[in-house]
Amino acid sequence: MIFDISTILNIVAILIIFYCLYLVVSLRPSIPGGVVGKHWNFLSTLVLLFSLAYLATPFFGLIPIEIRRVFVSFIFLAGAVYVLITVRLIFNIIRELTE
Amino acid sequence: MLPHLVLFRTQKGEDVLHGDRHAISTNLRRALLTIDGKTSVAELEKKVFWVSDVKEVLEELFAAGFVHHDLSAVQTAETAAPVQSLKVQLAALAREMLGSNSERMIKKMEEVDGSPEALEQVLLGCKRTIKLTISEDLADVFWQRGRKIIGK
Repeated sequence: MIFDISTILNIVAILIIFYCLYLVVSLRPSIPGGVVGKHWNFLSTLVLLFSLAYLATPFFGLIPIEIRRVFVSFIFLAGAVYVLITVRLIFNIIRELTE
Repeated sequence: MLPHLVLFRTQKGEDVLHGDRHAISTNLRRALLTIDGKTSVAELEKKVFWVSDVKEVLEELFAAGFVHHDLSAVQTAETAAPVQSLKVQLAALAREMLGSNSERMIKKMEEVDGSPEALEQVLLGCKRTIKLTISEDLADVFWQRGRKIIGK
């Protein structure tokens, strides 16, 4: 493994995403249901998926190019879904707090 | 003023008694001090020789809202007990409906002064928290039952 700038960025990203994974798991008991709780399991699953995907990034050089492209596209798609759910959740929270 | 009436100091009466000494005349203050919620107007007229024109002064105090003969119209420190009771009932409701998630709601209730308006605001906050983090259906039931307890 070569320690270039992309490797360092990968390591930082892995650390951050595992911190996020810790947060979503530890917050779970405080959010058993409701508007937020309903989406929490799905968000947690996506964070777990990102964690696994980020762990795989240092080994991207070992993966065939076609599989790598599909893999990256899949992560992008999951990222877009994550952002969509988060934005909708924030919208619902604001609506609930202002109604 | 009927002689058999027993007078009580109102909250307004308590406030003026413990507030600015010059808000009322010395004679009115002396008369107000004699109101103990036990002695009738007739007895006061006989006993309170240090107040001049007792009957008229009592009428003046009554007209100003410093005293009242109807206990239910009198807001005294004793009304603090029902306020505590409301908080206890709301806390019990939270425990019954929310179980281990009730602690943060109870903490909110304990922090307010206990007036029905303040408690209603806390209930609204609790309802929102429940709706966001526990259950949307439970939030509405909690809100309705809570409002019933505080008489809204």
